[in-house]
Order: sequence, then C-alpha cells, then structure tokens
Amino acid sequence: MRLILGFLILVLGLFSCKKEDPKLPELPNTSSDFYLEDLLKSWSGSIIVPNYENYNTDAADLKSAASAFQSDVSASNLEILRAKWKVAYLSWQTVSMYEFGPAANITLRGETNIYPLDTAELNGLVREGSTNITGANRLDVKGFPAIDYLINSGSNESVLSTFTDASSGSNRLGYLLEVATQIADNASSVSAKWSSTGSNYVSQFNSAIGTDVGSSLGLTINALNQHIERFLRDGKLGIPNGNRNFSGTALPNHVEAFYNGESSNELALQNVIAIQSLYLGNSADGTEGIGLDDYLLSLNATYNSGSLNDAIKSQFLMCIETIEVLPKPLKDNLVSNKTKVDDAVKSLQKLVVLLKVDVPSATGILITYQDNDGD
Amino acid sequence: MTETSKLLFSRIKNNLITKEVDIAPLVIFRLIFSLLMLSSLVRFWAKGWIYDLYILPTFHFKYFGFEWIEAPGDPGIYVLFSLVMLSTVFMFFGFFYRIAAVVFFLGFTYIELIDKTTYLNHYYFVSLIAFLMVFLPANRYFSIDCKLNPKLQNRTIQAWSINLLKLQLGIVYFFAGIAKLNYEWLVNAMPLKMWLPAHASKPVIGFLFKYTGVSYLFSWFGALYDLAIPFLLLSKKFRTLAYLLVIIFHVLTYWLFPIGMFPFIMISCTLIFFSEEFHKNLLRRLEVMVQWRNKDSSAFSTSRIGSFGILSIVLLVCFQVVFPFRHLVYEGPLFWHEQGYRFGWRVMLMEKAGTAFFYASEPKTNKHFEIRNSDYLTANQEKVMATQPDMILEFAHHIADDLKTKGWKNPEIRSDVYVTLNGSGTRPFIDSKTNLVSIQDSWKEKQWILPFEN
Repeated sequence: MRLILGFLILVLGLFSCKKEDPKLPELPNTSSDFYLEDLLKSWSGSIIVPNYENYNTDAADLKSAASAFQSDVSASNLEILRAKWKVAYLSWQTVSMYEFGPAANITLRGETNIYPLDTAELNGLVREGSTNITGANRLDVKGFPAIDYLINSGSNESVLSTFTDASSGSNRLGYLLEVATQIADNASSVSAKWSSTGSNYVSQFNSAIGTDVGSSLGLTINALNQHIERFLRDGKLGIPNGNRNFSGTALPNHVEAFYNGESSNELALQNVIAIQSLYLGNSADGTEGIGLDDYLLSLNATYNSGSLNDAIKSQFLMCIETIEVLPKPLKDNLVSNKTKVDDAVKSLQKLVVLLKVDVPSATGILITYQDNDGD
Repeated sequence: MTETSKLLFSRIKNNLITKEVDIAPLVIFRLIFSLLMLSSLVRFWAKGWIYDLYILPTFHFKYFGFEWIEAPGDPGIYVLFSLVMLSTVFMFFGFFYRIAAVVFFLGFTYIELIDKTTYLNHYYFVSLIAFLMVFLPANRYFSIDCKLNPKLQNRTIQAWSINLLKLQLGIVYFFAGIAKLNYEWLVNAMPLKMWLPAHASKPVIGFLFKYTGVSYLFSWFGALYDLAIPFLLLSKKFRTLAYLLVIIFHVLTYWLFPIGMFPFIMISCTLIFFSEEFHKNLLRRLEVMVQWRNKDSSAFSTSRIGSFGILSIVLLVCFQVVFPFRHLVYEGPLFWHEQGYRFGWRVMLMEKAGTAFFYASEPKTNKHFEIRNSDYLTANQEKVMATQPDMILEFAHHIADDLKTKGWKNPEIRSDVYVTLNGSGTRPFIDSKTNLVSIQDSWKEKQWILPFEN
C-alpha cells in the first residue's frame, strides 16, 4: 500500500509541473439564487405566450381585412388590408423563432413564411379557381409572401384591377381570403395550444427544467440558433446577398416582402429585436424580466477576459446597428451597398457563434438535434 | 540478469502467469461480457442509432490509416449488427467460442471504424477486451463447446488469462486518472465547474451542484478514484470498499452525463477482481440453476502460454502505455489542438464546443459561396467535426471532391471556425487563409491550427 501511495505521489508530482494545458481566468463562486424554473416562467409567461396572443390578434385582423376587401374591393379597403398585413407580418417576427412544441407540430414557420414565392404556381391556382393550398408542396404559394404578391405588386389601380378582373378577379379574392384564413387559423391554433386556458403547453414548458435535449431550455436555445442561422442570417440577408449560390451574385427577389420592398429591413430588424428581448427577458410590453442574461450572470460565464453576457449584449447592438444602416429597399441596395449587407451578415454570424457555441457550453445545454452517447 | 531480478522475474511468472487457478472468474466474465455487449447492441438498434449514425449520413469521417473502411449501407449494416449480436450469443453459450470471439472483435471494430464521429473511449475499450477474448480459454468450462468435445473441458487455467483482463481494466482506470492530472482539472475544477451547476435542478442532491466546492470535490475524487481503484481492487483488504466506490462513481456519472452503457460495463467488468471463491460460488449457483451436468473428462490440457504469448502481452501493454502520450511531440495545449487526443482514455475531460463555416472559391472562374454544412453532414457530425482539426480537414476535402463532380476544376476551401474550451469564450480555431484542400492529413504538426491564446 505504501508503495502504491509513493508511486501516486511521484506521478502527481511529475504531472503537476507539466504546464501544457491552457490557463484560464479564475471563475468566481457560481452559487447563486438563480432558478431555471423562473427563467422558463418568465419566458413563457411574459414573452412567448403574450407574443403569440398578439400575433393571433393581428392575424385575425388581417383575415377580417381580407374579408372586408373581398366584399368591397375599394382603394380604402386595400389600404387597410396593406396596413394590417404589415402589422401582422411584423408581429410574426416576434414569434417565428419558436419552432418547437405547438409551432413545430404544425410546421408553423413553413406554413406562414416561405419565400421566394412561386408566382407561376400561384397564378395557375388562381386561374383554376383553386384554393387548395394545403400540403408540403404548396408551402411556397401561401403565407405572408403570397399576400405580399397579391396586394403589393404594383400601383393601387393595377392591384385593384387584378381583383376586379372579370375572368379571375373573384378567384383572386377567394385565394387571398383563403391564405389570410390559413395564417389566422394557424396563429390561433398555436396560440391556443400554448395557452393555459387551451391545451396548456405552457405548463409542460415550465416544468421541463434542466438542460437536456428535451428540456425547455434546450428546445428554446436549439430552435433559436437554427432560426438565427438559417432564417435570419441566411434567409433575410445572406441568400439575397448571394452568399449561398455558386456565382455569389445578389438575388433581389429572394428578400422577404419582395413586392412591398420597403418592409424587408424593418422585418429583419423586428426579428432581431424580438430575439434580443427573449435574451434579456424583456416582456412584450417592454418591462425587464428574467432572461438568459440573468442565467449567464449567475453562472459567471466568461468570454475571453470579460463576461459572456456583455459580449452577447454588445453583439445584439451590433446586429441592430448594422441592419438599421441598410438602405431601403433592401432589394435595390444589395449590389450598390454590398459591404453594408456583408457587415450585417457578419454581425449575425458572430451572434450565431455566441448563442450556438458559447451559451450552450457555458450553461451545459445539450445542443444536439440527435440524441447520442458521449464520453 | 542479476540474481534478484531473476528471482523477481520467476516469481512474477510463477504467480501471475503460469500459476494454475480456477477457471470460474473467466467463465463468469465471458457470460457477463457477452450479455452486456448483446444488450448494448440491442439498445443501440432500438434507439434508431444504426440508421442515424450509419445510414443517414452521406459521408463518413475516416480514421487515419483506415480510409478503406466503408459503411455497408442499408441493409448491409443491419446484417453486420445482426452478425455481431449473434456472435455475442455464441460467446455466451461458449458455442464455437473462438470463431464467435473473432467475429465479435472484427465486426465490432469494423463498425467503430466506419465513422470517427462516433469515437468513444468505451468503444475502444470494448474492442481491446474483445481482442483479448479471442485468445482467452473462456470456453473451457460451462460451455457448449465442452459438451460437444469433453476433452476441451478444464477446471483450471493459467493465471495470465485472468490477470490480463485485470491489467487491461487497470490500464483504463489508471490512464484515465493520469489524464485528469492537469492544471484545469485539479486547480480550476474544470470542466465540472461548468457542468455540475447545470444539474442544480436534479432531485435530492441537485442543489449541491451550485457550489464550487462540490466541483472541486468531484474533480479530485474522480482523479484519485481513477488512479487508485485498480490497486484497491487488487488488495483483498480494500476490495469491498473499492467495489462500493466503483458502483457509486459510475452510477453518479450515469446520472449526470449522457454516457450510455459505459458505467454498467465498468461496474460489471470489475467483478473480475473478486476472489476465486466468489466466482466459484457464483458459478456453482449457475450450474445448479440450469442443472448443468459436466461430462467426465479425463483429459487435462491446460492452454499454456509460451514465450511468444508473453512477448505479445508485453508489446500490447507497451503500446497502450506509450500511445496515449504521443501528444507530447506536438506543441501547444492538447485539449485545443487534439493532436494525439483519441485512444488516450481522456474521458469527460473538457468542455469544448464550436461551429464551423466553410467557403468554397475558385479564383480562375471567380466562383465563391458559403457551404451549407447540413447539405453534407448530419447535425451530430457537424457538431463533432467543428472542434476537431483532422475532421475539419477531411470535410474540406470532401466538399472539394463534391464540387469537382459539379464541374469545378480547382475548388479552394477555407474555413472560419470558432471554438470555446472550458468556458474560454469562442475564438478562431483554424487559419481562415489556409486553403484546406492544399493540406493532406498526416502525423505532422498541423500548422494551420491557430494557437490558443488568451
């Protein structure tokens, strides 16, 4: 036994003087009063559910406006419809990233906002008088992009004339209403599933504590990261910027809200701000609550020599700033202001790195889309 | 050789190698090991991992030197798994034992070599044990082979068979312990200080994980446990206590970390350290339970080890002692560059995560774009690849090969990779100016890995 001990001490001595592993700043004590339950309650109670409720209201308004427009095709009703479309579209940006649970069950994001739109197919359906827009192969002929095309492609007169056209006008009105109805129905269905007065997913969400793959924290962070990377960085900016096609040339018709044009920037900005609010725990009405920032602070998560929370907060500001300076409309400035678009894409990319790598690493959240053993 | 060393050598040989001992521990080990392997494979299949890991991916990361290993595809991989599972059943019953052990070793190892993404120390451990099982006379008692050929039957064997397994287990523990003797683990309690607080919501003792002291306790206990447990298990006096520690340690790790079957494999395999009497008792009960009748056999044919056998064991042990330290020839922190990381019993040692962006370009045609990693890799592969330079390089070559089939002549691939190690914060990992296609993987220092700096 003494021999073994002697050997152990020898080995310990040998290896403790080896200085080959990275030295990192000393972390302070991590004990604190932060509880994951509180974060989940704050997220669901003051951010996710209220935002879904708002979106549900705005989507219902859009549907009513479409319905009013159908019964009276007038310039004033078109104006109302356009305004309601924009409000609902902006509202959508506050919930689009929660593609898990109820939203994932009905693939809400795919049902609501696939662009670019397949105009040829849409026009074909309108010609046939079909309003059959369900199923996986009809995702690119509906949602906000479809309404954008139907109500925003051209001047007031030309748009109105497409709806009063003798041969296809009524088909077009019917199609418009069907798209708006689907948006509203989906919004109401997901909102009701979250609601404590409906299917009460919220209680399931609040009680799935921990950091495993199936935990609410894991679900939210994974959904958030996928969203920022694919649908925000790529979808809203990178793909139109030509980052994903061989030739690297800009693709203006791939921007969000292409026909309206003016709103692309605002929609992207709204999405980033919504994600920032979730991070900070800011509720739908703007009051500051418990967010991921508080969790990171309680863990004393570090980033290089500073705090991870500071790094993320300033990266959010950087993203907002670089999107704010993008000239409007985005589609006309992709080539002339390429460096600005590149900058915005780069800031979002850096945000992706922080949220996808640093946050899960610091919090022990299992970021894997596939469960597997580790060692 | 001096007189004393001669004496020492002959004592070792007589006591640890050629001494005749009861076969019971080896028979029990055979039964336990085959059952465990069978259940591991069933679990793997039931979880759908055969599909997720060997069919779904369109690309597999190859081990250096084993590039010729191919995924057998669907249904080939299921056939292979079935064959390996069948071999565990044959091993269990000791029926065509030697052939079954060879099939298990080759089949299991082949599966593990298909994709580096799935590398786990415990799979390496299984391959090593499986290799040893090929040469151990584990079917010489309580087996169908003995029923069919009573001449095979043998109540005693030479001690090396059992000691070799103990040695192998001891190496795993001891080297896992040595791997923990680093500054981060001992002085900063990393990565446990990052991992444990995430479990603060676990029942009963969860609240303890919020305290840094607990992370230190776990780190130090873990290191001491790994270093000492082989010796404690060997000593008669401490064996019961040691085994209690084995159970506590592994159950705790199972509870806290997603490490699958490994804890149960270690808990069961370490039974080999128990006394001859313990195993004889166990075997007797089993014989009664299944009403086993031994055929009378007058033959006495102990499988004796020769000098070639002893030499092989010495070489195998030397390899295992030296190979984990190959990282010493590379500069910089091992956990960062991971050159020489695998096959070194570095288990749950660091919190490392990353993400990688790849860009393809062709200067002549002015083509350039960002690769969508998910076009080539599963989410799991992407995640594992992002922190390991050899996989990043391999993936870059794969992208280039694919682009060549799409009409590109000289694709260049560059990468922006960000990695965080033990909460350091993400930092650039790979030189983004290097065209990875111009680099071939080798044992040479990977100059294109950026240094880990604060």
